[in-house]
Amino acid sequence: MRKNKGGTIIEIKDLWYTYPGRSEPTLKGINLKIEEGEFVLLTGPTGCGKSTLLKTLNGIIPHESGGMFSGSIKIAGTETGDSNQMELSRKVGLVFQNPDDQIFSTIVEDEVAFGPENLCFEREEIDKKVGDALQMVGLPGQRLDSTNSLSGGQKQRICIASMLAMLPEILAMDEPVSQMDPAGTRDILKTVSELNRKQNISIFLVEHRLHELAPFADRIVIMESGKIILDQPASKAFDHLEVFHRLGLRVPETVELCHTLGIKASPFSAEETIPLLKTGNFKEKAKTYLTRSIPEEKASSMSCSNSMSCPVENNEALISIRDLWSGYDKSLMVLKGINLEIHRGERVAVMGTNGSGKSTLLLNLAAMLKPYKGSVKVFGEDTKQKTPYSFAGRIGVVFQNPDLMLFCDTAEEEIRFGPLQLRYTDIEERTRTSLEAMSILDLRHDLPQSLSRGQRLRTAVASVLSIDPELILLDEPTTGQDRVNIEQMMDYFKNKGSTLVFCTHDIEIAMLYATRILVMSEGQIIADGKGRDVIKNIDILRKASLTQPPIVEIANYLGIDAFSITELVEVLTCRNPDVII
Amino acid sequence: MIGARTIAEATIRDTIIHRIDPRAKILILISTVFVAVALDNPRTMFLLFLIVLSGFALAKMPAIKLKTLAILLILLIWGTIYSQALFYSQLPRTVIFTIISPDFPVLGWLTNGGLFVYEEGLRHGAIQGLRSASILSLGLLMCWTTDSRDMLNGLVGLRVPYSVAFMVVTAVRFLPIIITEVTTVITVQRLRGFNPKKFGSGIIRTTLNILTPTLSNCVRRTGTLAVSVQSRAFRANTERTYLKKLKFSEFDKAVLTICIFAAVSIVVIKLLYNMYTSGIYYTSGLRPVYAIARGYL
Repeated sequence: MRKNKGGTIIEIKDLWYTYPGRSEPTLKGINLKIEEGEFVLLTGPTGCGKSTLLKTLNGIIPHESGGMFSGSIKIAGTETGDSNQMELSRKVGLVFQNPDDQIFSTIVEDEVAFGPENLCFEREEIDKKVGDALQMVGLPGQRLDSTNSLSGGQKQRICIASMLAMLPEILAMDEPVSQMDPAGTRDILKTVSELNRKQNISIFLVEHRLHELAPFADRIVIMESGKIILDQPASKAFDHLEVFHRLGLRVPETVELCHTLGIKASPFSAEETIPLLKTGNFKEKAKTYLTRSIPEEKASSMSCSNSMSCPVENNEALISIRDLWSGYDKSLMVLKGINLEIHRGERVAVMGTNGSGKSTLLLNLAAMLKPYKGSVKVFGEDTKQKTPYSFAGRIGVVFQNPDLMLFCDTAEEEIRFGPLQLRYTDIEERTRTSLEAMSILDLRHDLPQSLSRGQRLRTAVASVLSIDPELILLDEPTTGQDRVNIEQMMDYFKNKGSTLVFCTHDIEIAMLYATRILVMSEGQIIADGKGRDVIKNIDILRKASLTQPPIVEIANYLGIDAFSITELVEVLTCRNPDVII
Repeated sequence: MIGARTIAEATIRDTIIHRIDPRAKILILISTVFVAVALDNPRTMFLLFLIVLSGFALAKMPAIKLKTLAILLILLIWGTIYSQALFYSQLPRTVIFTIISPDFPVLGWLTNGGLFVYEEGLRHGAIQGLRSASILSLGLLMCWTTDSRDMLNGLVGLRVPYSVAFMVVTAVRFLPIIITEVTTVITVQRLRGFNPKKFGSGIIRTTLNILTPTLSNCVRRTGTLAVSVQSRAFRANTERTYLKKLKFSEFDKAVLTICIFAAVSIVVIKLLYNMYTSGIYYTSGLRPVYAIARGYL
């Protein structure tokens, strides 16, 4: 599978770095070697120093950042401290999380040509490099397209192409797929993998979504508090599962399954896992898991979310949508004839590709967008006659970007803001409960904007919780977040019995927490039902660029009706191993 | 979002206006500013305004942009005429309508002798309004028919430092995103029970509430963009090369020559006429010139 490997392309020795104005170093004695042509996946909890390490590779730290820097970084034998930005730019290409924050040109060609132009190549050479780079990322036909007309995945590939045009030896990527829908993620991973295999470009990639990226990596490196605590080949990294669990990192379901069943292997796909299930009797090991490892609460949540009999508190319809047509331009409707009822106590996951209408649906529910045709009734009131202010205190919205929700001087003020404006009486109690619920009590005096991304999200959620709205709308709340943050937030909503509508690309989270899943495609609802019913329909999933979680694939292959690791383990331990495959 | 972006960004089409070299567009705009400032005659000013507006028809601008232009022009022209009609202070002036009579209790005294609409004020306001409207319209036409890359190259071609041109063009690129974010911030706050104030003491709190998240988000985005462009060797050299080469067509040269010639002529004629009316310089040989200035400029 692997390509030719050469010498060491990155060599980091005893690297320490402290940002200007901070006393605590962000990087603490990093030692790391990456071989030419290697694909290294760097992960760790938010704020552990992963992105900082990435920025040291092409000299942005310390050349542009200032701060205290010590140690050595050699890129292809060249010390970054001794070389200039131009030289390093040709060796290391950086790609970031959100393509919209990186693309500044309106035409694809201009964006890709920017680097070679800065490096003073001749016009003919720039032209060739642009063409070659677009060819490498599979977008040769989009050269003269507007960057705004591209999908999220295509935009990120343009960002990669703009680096490739400078012919780097290393591609360093900071969570490049965290904001992508499943189709975009597949596009990016296919592109990166091909660049790695065919062009022998070394890949150094930071990402939380281990379960999707681990199959592509040669090595997995884990950082914690500025230090590397694990550096193993991808096939062996998950032998140290306790490290992943302790740091709240997401483990591929297939790996979790095998470890639960006592199988000493780390497969990354259903196909690799199925033969391993032949290997023997794992009853004893699995029983231990079933009785000890899975907290009772989580187990019940899985069965509840997947069960046909999951209770909805009563039949009162909070939301009633009839033949909804809505969009941002009359000539271009995003939602096309939506009919929907959501009842009190339901947790509804809205899934689908980017542009399928998920966020537009949410904006209609919050009365932020008005129907062009049809009606949206929330709490029995037609939103056409209402403004978002009419639903203040009754609807809470958390956006994908928590930064747009934080404007007070401390986290505590942020959380008090809503109850204070709405003149609630028990403000102190509400504030304390919300701070505790999101585990940010110790951060209550901190400036919200200075917190880590996970902490900022929790502060934004707490600021909505303190109002205790009847309906909570979350627009892709899992984007760029640790598993721990996601679970803490979703567990709270589940335990509280909140009525929740959330957009997500993460089918595992939807299966775990939603009582109902809506799948949208091209402005229409193409599936609406319990998670386990929706997930069985492969055609529907394919239409929305979704795939079944590997556990469901394995269960299907084995002819078992199971939708989570717990369920699959339960069934497997009750069966004779000889009968399984 | 889509609306804001459509309004803020260029609409790229293959029309005679779009094909004009960006450097020529910038120089035509500068020439027009001189002409608009020099002109006093309402009929000629109106003619200039119509010529500028005809550019929108030639450029086949979409309806949303024409609507935006119409709103901006109505606000600008109405606001200028209205304010000049009320507060015109030159003499002579003819009252055509009384809003507050000098004898009106309290208000008559407060307004220092009443409030009137003056005929000369209306006329002066119309000229001022048309002057600003012509410049605004041509500026918008230029931005809406020029791709950001061409604008960047055009500015650089006119000796604007690349870093400055890059900043200007990038700022315009991110403007619609910021507008959308402001809308989101306001809505989120409304849902938390906050009623943004447009007047009075609450306006400071409202402004801070809106600016804090918007700016902090801008700072984060700018940080990412800065790192991204730095990693692509931005300003690594004092010079840089360009993929696209700008080229003046014969048509560009002709249009530009006419515009510059017209601007220089109008400014010089007005200057000579003003020197004559101020008693600084007069010669009988320039009588036809004075006649043109008095009758048409």
